[in-house]
Amino acid sequence: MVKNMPGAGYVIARRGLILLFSYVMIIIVVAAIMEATGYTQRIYEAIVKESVQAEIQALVRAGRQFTPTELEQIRKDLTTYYSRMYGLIDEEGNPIPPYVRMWILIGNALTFNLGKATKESVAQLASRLPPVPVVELIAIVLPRTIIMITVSIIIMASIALMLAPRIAYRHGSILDRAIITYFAVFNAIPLWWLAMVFILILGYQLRIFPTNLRPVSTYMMRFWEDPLGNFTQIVYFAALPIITIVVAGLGGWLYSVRAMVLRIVREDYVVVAKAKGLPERDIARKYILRVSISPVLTSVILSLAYSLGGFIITESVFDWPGMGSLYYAALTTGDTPTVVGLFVVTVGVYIIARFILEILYIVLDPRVRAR
Amino acid sequence: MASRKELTITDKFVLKVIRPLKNVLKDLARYWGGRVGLAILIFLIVTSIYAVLALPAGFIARWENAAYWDENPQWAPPAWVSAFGVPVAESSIISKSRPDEPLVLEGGRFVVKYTATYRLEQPAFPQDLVLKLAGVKIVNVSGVVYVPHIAMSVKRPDGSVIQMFGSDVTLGGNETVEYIATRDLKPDIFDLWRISSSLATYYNYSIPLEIVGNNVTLQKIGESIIISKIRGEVRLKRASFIFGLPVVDVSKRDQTAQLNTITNSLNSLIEKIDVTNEQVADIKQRLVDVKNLVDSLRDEDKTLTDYLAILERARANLTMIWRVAFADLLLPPEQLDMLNSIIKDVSKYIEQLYTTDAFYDIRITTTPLTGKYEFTLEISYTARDELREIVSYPADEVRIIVKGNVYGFSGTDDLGRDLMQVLLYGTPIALAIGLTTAIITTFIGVFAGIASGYYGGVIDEIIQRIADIIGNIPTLPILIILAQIAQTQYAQYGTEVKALMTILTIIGVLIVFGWGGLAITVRAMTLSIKEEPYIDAARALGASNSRIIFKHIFPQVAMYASASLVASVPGAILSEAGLSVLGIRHGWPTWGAILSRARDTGRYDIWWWIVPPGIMLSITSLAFILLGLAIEKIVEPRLRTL
Repeated sequence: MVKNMPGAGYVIARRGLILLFSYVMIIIVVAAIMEATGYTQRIYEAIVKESVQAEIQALVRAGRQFTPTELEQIRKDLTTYYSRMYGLIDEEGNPIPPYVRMWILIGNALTFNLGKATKESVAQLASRLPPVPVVELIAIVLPRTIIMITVSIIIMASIALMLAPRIAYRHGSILDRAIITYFAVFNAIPLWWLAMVFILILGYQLRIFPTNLRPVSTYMMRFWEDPLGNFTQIVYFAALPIITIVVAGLGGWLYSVRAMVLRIVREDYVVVAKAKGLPERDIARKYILRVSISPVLTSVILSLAYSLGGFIITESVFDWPGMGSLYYAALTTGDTPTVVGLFVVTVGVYIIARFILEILYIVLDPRVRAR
Repeated sequence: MASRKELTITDKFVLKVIRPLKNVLKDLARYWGGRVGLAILIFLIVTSIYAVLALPAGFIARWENAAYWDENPQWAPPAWVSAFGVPVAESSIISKSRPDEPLVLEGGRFVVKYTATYRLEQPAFPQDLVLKLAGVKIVNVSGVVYVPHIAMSVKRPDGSVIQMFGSDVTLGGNETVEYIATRDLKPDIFDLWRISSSLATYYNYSIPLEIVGNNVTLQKIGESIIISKIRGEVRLKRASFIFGLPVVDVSKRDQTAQLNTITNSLNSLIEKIDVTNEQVADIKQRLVDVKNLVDSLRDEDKTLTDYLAILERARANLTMIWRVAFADLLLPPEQLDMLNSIIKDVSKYIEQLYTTDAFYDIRITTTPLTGKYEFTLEISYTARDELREIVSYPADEVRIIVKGNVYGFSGTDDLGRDLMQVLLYGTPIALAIGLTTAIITTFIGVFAGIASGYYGGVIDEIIQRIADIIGNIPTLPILIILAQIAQTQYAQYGTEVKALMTILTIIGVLIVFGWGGLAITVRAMTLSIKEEPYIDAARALGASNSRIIFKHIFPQVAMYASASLVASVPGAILSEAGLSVLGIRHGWPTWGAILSRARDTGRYDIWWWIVPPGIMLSITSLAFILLGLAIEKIVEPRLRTL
């Protein structure tokens, strides 16, 4: 049995290839949805039409006189120019079919050539005018999601790590049941609805927190001019979203960490340790926490990686200019470079996190290699 | 041995369906969470059945039709807020198809009267008053067109009668009437002029004598100023003047600033005058007199009459001084100019006091007037014998609608739509979306997992790779974009098709991207079941793959799968609602659609708009989460043996 066990290097390489394959496939799926359905094509055609119209109107307003044939020629030239710019036709003027553009898009995405955002409402999130390079856009927007969602997840995970082992140790107690009830109730409540209710009560009725959170971007952009003052401002604006996410999500974290710890608590060696009369604290720390740390760490790391994509609905309810809002703006306006760029970055980060975890597992726990 | 008894279909049904179901329910009821979950689920199912039976045909189209709801108050809270001490004005719709008083001949006109009463029980203002007329007759008798005159008045609890409205029905420019034509009308019955003058006549508003003084003209002007103020207020808060008692509070406005401008310029003129001879000294003295005269107005008890009398005297004096100074060249030109502009200022001030409310501070407040309101609607035509028969029933229906300040059990939204109806009809839609998605997802997940674990090899590799891909892809963005695409794609087929296709797309995406996790778990379970000796035994006995899968593997996975099924129901419901909140609307009256509308209008402060749909969503998903937890507990021992 042991003889047939493959080496760690082989397993890591195999897992890496599998994850890379998933990544490439996801990019292909996204590109196919954007291009092969004709969605991007329709949107680009609309943009070309709009741009041509706007340019002709500008010329007319500038006082130029055209005969109808001249006007037709200008319209044709401009249409060709813009169509080429948006990749609808090639150098010879032949239309490029969607499936060809799809592969061009995939090629660019996989070589991290993310292009530029062309839509106003997308660029606006970074307080810029289009075109803005997608990488730059994400670099500006990502920190905002980090201070709202990643921070919330760190808070929830730390509280769960501190409390859950104790709850699991006394499982069946009133506290344990209260936690399960809390989990069940708040798992049922949609986060974005809780956000609406909190804005209603804490924002509008009691006026404790601001209801317009957009200004946070200004303080973040000018952070280094006055770090302390800006930091307090950012905390002021981020407080309501963070409180909402923590209140809604803490139950889930407590429950899942408790479940992971509970699996260990029921192991024979823990029962033996209890029977031996070892102090409770020692059992909790040495026998339980150390063993259960790896699944807990896995879910923490994966959640952190996942959080970088933002919570689209919740960010939209708070009108928080983070990754979720960027996703939403890009998806609804059909800004294909931004959409693909976002998938490249968020899925990429998630897959890299999974790969690192796989390596850690394989290196630390030889049993995994047998899979 | 007894011969084997044949099982009837009923027996089979009892054995295979009823008994296991009974056992599961018994097991579930053992747990506290299971009991609560079951109770909510039963409530939701009963509500759904009722909703499906009661759902009027074409409700979806009606929901989006603003005209259908225009008789309800807008943004009205639920009626039960009155239990918390909030005064409430009931809504009331009075519909008449026949006149209350038969046709009479009055002053050369045929007059038909409709009456309606409304009782205001608590001190609150109804939101609005609306008159709707259906099928009002316009008659052509041998080339002469007779149009009806419509007038409305209300007799209020304190006996006051307010003329609200009176107008002929107007015909369009090139409209022709052949014999009898009918019109549907919704006139704006708040005629500001009539209402304000009715109120003023009855309540006899006037400026207190200690402010206006005893000049009768000024008193009359004051009254008309009050009426025009009331008119402005009626425009803004119409219903509170029909259902309320206007209280007019007049006080004297501070005049110091105006007096100061006059006395200051007089002072500076007086200082500038060089006394060169007696005549100049006289002029200076006279100016000082005028100044003292104007200063005497600073007394608190001076009335408007005093003001005008004194100011006019001052002006006359100043004009005389100017004439003397000008004729005898007693003052340098720039001082004459100064004097002239002072005279102009005084004149302007006098004119202001005469014609505007510059002297008054008028505050108008209304307090609700409780009791019985009698509305009278008169439809009249110029009398002519041929008309009598036709116009004795001048309209098919007359509706007098009092929009209260509360509505029903759940209040209304910005269009006056009854939110209770969506809470009700949204339930079967939500359950249908959730259950459809969960059942199909679980089905695919279970069989993909079993196939993957049982057959192994290439099938396993393919299924696991697909599960990997869909496990790593963020579903929500994909959902948004595909729902968006579905909306543009199906927009051309009308709203009903578009709504259905959008919902189906959402369900489809959730299914396609939802089965991966379950497949991976089921595969792991299948792998360990496959190693059990009885599977080998079955295979040795010649059992086919499908028999082994359905008879030996599937039953073992089924319980876990059902826990996963139940737990995955809320996902789809919340996804649909979340998409609606984001603004990707399908057009069906769902809970998410209410929240979406609330978000669009930015009215987070209207709690009955935001809280109830969220509670429905939450208790629905709570039911399934609790049931899932309870089933997990039942399943757990078996899970651990695997």
